Amino acid sequence: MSESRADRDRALQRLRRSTTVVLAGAGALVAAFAALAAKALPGHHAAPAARPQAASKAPRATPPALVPVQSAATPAAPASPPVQSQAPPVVVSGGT
Amino acid sequence: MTVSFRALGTTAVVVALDAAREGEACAAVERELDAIDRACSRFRADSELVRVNRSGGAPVVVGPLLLEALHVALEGARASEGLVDPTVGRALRTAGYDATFRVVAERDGSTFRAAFCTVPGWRTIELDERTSTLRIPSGVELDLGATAKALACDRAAAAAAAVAGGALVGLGGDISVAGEVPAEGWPVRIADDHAAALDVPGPTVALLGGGLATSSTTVRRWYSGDTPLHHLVDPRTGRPAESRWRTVSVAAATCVDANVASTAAFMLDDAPAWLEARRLPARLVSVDGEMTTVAGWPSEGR
Repeated sequence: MSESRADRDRALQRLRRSTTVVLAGAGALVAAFAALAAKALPGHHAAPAARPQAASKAPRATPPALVPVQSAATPAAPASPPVQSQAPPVVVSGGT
Repeated sequence: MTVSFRALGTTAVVVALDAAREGEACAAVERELDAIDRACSRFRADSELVRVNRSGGAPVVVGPLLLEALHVALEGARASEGLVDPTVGRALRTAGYDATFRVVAERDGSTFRAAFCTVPGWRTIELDERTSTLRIPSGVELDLGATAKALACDRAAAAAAAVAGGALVGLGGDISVAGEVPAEGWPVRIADDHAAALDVPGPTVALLGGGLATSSTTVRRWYSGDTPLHHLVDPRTGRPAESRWRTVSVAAATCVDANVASTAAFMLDDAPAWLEARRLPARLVSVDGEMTTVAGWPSEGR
């Protein structure tokens, strides 16, 4: 009787050890996959969004629609670059 | 024949191809500049922009001209990756540029102390073009100085050309040409100061179209104690830019594009490469006087 109790205790001990090992392994795997996913899918940097404003009686604008870029080539080059001139100037371009 | 007059806190210059229509061309230019001033001035109590800057974060419906100016400013910000940013208004004001420049220039710098603040960034601006509705967060102040002046120049040149066949309009050093061009182009002297006499030493280039802008820190300066400050605020620091350049002149398809490029280039140590990559003819003069030209800007050999 006491022998079978000792067997049962040993079996329970083995079971506890196995459970601990399995849980620790699962935790390590979760951490590893989380790190992998974070590296592969970095997401977006938070834009400097407007701070929440105090409640205003005026209605909030419809969802923001920042202006579209008309052309990826802006600022655009001139059709013809300036050329050297010997003519008397009609205007001065300088700092203001 | 060149006609000049004061406008937008600086000097406007009009040259009409058809001299007989010069008066009409000037009137058209004045109408455009007045409209821009009413929409975009930071210093007129009755301007739309002042109303926006005082909106306390509430949405504001804006008129078509301010909407266009905002569109242009945001496009310039995007194209320059934020180097030309319309949300520098507060940084400019606290640094001392809080009134028309004539007032700022007359201030006693020895008793004035500038304060500096971060620039919130153009992405904080919410603009719904369908409803002409603008919202900026409370505390954000817009300054459209660079792009709105250039836009005024482009619009005014188009208006003048519509009545005179072709025209050149200069506004504080920004130049725009529209319509027909004289056979040899429009001759323009390049200098540090737009108010310099026409015979000031410097190269003359002929513009065949588009626009030309020059950015420089040699002119619009004031003092905080012993420290000289200028109006070209670097959005990355919120302070007047510490540039390796003294003067940057850029030619582009429009005056707006030229102004965005010259202002952005001013902030960049590697401005020649930045301009070359965009094929923008430019002339850069460093603070120690060394001159660099890129992308087909004409050489200055005799």
